[in-house]
Amino acid sequence: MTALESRYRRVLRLLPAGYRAEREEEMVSAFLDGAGPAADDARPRWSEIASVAALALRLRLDGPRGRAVRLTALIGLAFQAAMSCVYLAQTLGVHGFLPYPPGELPVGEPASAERLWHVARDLSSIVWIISYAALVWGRPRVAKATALLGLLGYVPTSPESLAPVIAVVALLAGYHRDVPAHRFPRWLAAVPLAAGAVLFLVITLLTWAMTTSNDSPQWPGPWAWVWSWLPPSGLFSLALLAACAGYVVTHLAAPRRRSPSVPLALAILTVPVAVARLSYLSPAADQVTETLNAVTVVQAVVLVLSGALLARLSAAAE
Amino acid sequence: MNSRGLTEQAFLVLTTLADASRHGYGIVQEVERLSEGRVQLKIGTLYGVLDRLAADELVALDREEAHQGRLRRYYRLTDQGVHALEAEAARLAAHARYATERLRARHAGGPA
Repeated sequence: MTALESRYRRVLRLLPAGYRAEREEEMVSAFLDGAGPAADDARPRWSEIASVAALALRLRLDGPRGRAVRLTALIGLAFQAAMSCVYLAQTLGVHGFLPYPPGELPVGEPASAERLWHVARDLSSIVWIISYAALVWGRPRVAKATALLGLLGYVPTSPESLAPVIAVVALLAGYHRDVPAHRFPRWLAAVPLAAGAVLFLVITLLTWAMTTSNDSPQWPGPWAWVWSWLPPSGLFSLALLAACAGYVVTHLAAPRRRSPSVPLALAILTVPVAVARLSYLSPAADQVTETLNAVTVVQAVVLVLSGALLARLSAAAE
Repeated sequence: MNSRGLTEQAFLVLTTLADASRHGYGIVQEVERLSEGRVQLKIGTLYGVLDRLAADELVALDREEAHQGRLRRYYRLTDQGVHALEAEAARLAAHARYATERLRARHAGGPA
């Protein structure tokens, strides 16, 4: 075996073992035919390696794993869409379009460039809603383009951006040309909108309640236990833990509805959310910070344990 | 065949198999020749396309041969592949005809 042939065989190790057993010999033959009478110390070109890597990714995303990756994208985008509804409603509230007293004032003078820039930026979160709806309606290309636009609005170094990044990566990897076009029921597109509206009401009420108890001598009191659940990753933790509990009940009560894809998708999402939660830890300077840290650590630990349990249930259902 | 039709790569691979069965690198060479160098299939891409076409039952394994001690697998069009290629070729020819007619009308001073 020449050095070039062994290098091609090394590249082909990217492929799943079963596929390699079937195809390796003819693929090596095709590679060497293409290389011609090249010197033995020639190396596979990067474009060749990339084409094998792309093939390997597609093959590995076939079956339950592929469905899990696509579900990861769907759930991640659904959460982003729900949060976008909250942000959009808050923007409308700040600009006086909602019938409640604004908690904060718009940035910049009316009709100034600064005001326009902030309004445009605040309204840009609508792309997540479009992306999610496009995915539900069987338009993955539109979903990909708008989700990538949505990512532009995130600070890349913010741990809160990890979950949307994972969702977009799953969207790009999971919805490729070989995936049959799939349309979900149209009503599914409205679920994050309804969830977003409920979230907005809850957050508004909580903000109002916190503001009114701000002057209490016991401040913040029990609110310190609530704060860690209010950032996007805190809300996503809550949603994932509820989904995990729901799946475990289904797994135990309805064995016929067990699925390897659903728990795997939820398990994948617990990772970026747990990392995002841990980024909120800060050196404890007082009792309130200690309480916040304790809740955050518990959130992260429960997420990790839930993720491990879901991964195990996924493997058991395969 | 799925409802989204053939990609250009799939169409070219089927075209190379219309007159003869070919092995992997033979298909790569023929696609490059047919497309006048515009489409250069990488081996990973080729096998992805062949897998899709085989799954859609448009191509099938014809035979295996040993060449300089290495395995070559030759692929051929199935009857379904012939029909799919004919349909796609007719569709593309119709599009080319419409484009040619409209360009002719434009050059003749008709509606743009």
